Amino acid sequence: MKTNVKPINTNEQIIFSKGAVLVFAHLFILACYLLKFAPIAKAQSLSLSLSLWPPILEAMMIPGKSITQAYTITNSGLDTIIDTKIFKFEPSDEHGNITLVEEVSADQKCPLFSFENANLSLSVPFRLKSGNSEQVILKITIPEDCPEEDYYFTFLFSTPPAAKIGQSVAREAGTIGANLLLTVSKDGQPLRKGEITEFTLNHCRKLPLFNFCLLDSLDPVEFILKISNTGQAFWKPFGKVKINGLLRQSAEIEIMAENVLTKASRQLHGQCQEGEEIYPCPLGWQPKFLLGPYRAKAELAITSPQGNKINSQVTFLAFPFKLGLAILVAFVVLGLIKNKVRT
Amino acid sequence: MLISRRLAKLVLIALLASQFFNLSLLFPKKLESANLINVSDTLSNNRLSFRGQLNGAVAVGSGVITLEETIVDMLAENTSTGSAALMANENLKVGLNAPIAAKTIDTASRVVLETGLITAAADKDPVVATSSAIHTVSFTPATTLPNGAFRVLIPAGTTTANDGLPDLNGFDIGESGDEPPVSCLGGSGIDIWETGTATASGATGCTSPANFHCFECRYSGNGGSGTAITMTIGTPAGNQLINPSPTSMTRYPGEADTYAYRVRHIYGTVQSYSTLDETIGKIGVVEAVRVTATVSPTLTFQITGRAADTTSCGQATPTGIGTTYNSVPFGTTVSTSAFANLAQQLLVSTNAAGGYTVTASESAQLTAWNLSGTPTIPDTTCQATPCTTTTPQTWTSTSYKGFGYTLEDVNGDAVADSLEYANGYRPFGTTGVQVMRADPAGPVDSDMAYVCYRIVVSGTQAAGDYENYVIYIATATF
Repeated sequence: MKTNVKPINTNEQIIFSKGAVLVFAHLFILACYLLKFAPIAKAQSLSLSLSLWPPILEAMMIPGKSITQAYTITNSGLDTIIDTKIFKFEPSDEHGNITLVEEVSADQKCPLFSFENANLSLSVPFRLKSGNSEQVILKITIPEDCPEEDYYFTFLFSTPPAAKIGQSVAREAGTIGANLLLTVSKDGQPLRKGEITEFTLNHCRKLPLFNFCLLDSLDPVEFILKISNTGQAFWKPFGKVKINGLLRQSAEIEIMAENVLTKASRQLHGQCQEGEEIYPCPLGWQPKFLLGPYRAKAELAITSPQGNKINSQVTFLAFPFKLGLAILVAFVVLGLIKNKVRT
Repeated sequence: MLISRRLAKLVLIALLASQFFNLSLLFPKKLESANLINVSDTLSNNRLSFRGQLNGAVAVGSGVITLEETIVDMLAENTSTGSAALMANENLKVGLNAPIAAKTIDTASRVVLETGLITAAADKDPVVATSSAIHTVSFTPATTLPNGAFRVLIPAGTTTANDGLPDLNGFDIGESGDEPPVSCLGGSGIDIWETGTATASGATGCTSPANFHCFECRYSGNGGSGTAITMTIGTPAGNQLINPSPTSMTRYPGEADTYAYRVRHIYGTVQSYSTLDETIGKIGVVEAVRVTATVSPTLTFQITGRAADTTSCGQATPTGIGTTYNSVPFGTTVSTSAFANLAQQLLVSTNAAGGYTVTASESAQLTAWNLSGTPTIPDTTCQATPCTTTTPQTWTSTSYKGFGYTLEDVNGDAVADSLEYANGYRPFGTTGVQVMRADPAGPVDSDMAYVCYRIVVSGTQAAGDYENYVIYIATATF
């Protein structure tokens, strides 16, 4: 049986072995190159994750003076580039949310923004490695000729969107921002005033010709309290909603001190506390059983508990409508059963 | 046959030769001279120390103290006023007494201590609560220097900068023998880092410039440039630098006092050295705010891709295609007769009292910038009205073309019910609209939602690569 084995050509063998050496050398140099320059894979989550402290700054400033505020930005995601920008903002609703209006331009005068860091500048991107933090020291300067009014800004830390990848794609850019509420005042006593624009019961049902709300005895009492700022500087309201009933039922609901910006209104919340943590909660009262007429009075002071007072009141009548209906239905059913038994 | 072998040989030799070019990258050209770069000093605790004084004498056994609310004597350096910057459980040194923990911060000026004073305190006696910090100083040398040293100069108080009490205008290094330990690591061309030294301002070898404490790491070796070095001053369980007290009383919550520190690359002896490179940096030390500083308010925002073959907003992703944190690659899944659905995950945590909001906007409609006329894939108009950036509508028929998105609550109640995917889809706009918020308003831990993107195009849509970018902005509510 003839085997089809090709005889080895000596020249081919030499060229093959030389080629193998060249290929091996090439791969060796390539490996050295990659070991030196290839990034070492780290165990890190494939996400953008930024933290910012503090998320809000409230300050009153005298023209001609500066303040500095340290911000700490922490990157818990992948290595990234951070760009810093400052935008003016306006309140977008009555719940403390914002709408960014326009970026602060280079010729912005009131106020002037800059960084105190030796190695960082505003609007100049910097690298932030995974797991690292950077302290950015923002200097805010109010020139002498700045009008005495409020200035609202958001200090943004942005990551760039992904590079183009040659296909149809929506690329995402993540941004985290801290709000700056600045009041400029020469004497530290800007005009602070406001008014209650709405104080009523949520789901208030009124009878024609009667100016009070009807409420079922088993329903919770939930108020809607809105105030507007008609002054020249933002402020916080301090106060309570006091409820008194004819049957000596009474309650006081602490109001959360939330910022009310100039020319804007805000719906207020109650103040709840868990340990040392204070947080807003619905402005309501939930007794076991309500009966009769009640009067709720919102008493607020502007800026501090000793500040200008504003108040408003609402009356409501609680009656066991649901319970009464249930009893009525029960009687009707019982009556029907009784009639049927008799017949 | 012979020609092809020779050709193969030549190609291999050329390839080998080309790799020698890469070897030049292993030995980059050194910089001649420049300042140290990437200089930073991160404090483990950047809160100002408290140094106020009593408003009224306190008898032995009494645990109630009242603090001055204005600065009485600037020369005494007792510049902290009132109790706003103090916290419960903080150790207060009242007059000559050993530190006692504060039980409650009663009013704007009154503090109740856990125990009564052992020694009576006189009116205007100092009340001190120190804040200490580990300084982590990072820098990258710009110049090669064999057998040199790095010296960090931290501002010191101008009067008694080493008595273990906070100073008005600089950091206190502690009493003699209590100096914080110094260590260095990193760098290139360093054979050995010698044990670091800490020298109080004014002591031998630390007199110029005046009013700076000196911290030094000497090394042996060639001392290369371009590789980061970290000097750590202080240890978690050991001695640390004491943060300054406020420079004045007119400050606001979070307002920083800034101090300029210096990092020097030096050569010569400790007593007589020369500076090769120097960079000046700044550190900020801030006033604490009792109401919020117990747990510093922070806002965390995270975007994560969704893996392939998962379901979000009730829709499965195309087989084998996932997203990343910064791209949603529809690629070839875009069709004229079927929806392509992809998603990402957003996560927000904050302990800010008012909660947070996340808005979304797009740079422009999906656009093929490289095609003539820059055609676009329109934003969805859903299949019912009104379909706006704030009002979603049903979009189940592929007859209605475009690009839109919807949301799914995953953890917490981050998405308003009216915006959830059961209510349909909506288009992005160039103005940011809310996609997530804290409900109820207040601190939240890991509010999570899916953003689910959907696209379908018309048969006449020009072939090409369309792109835009979507911007998510997370802010705390004011």
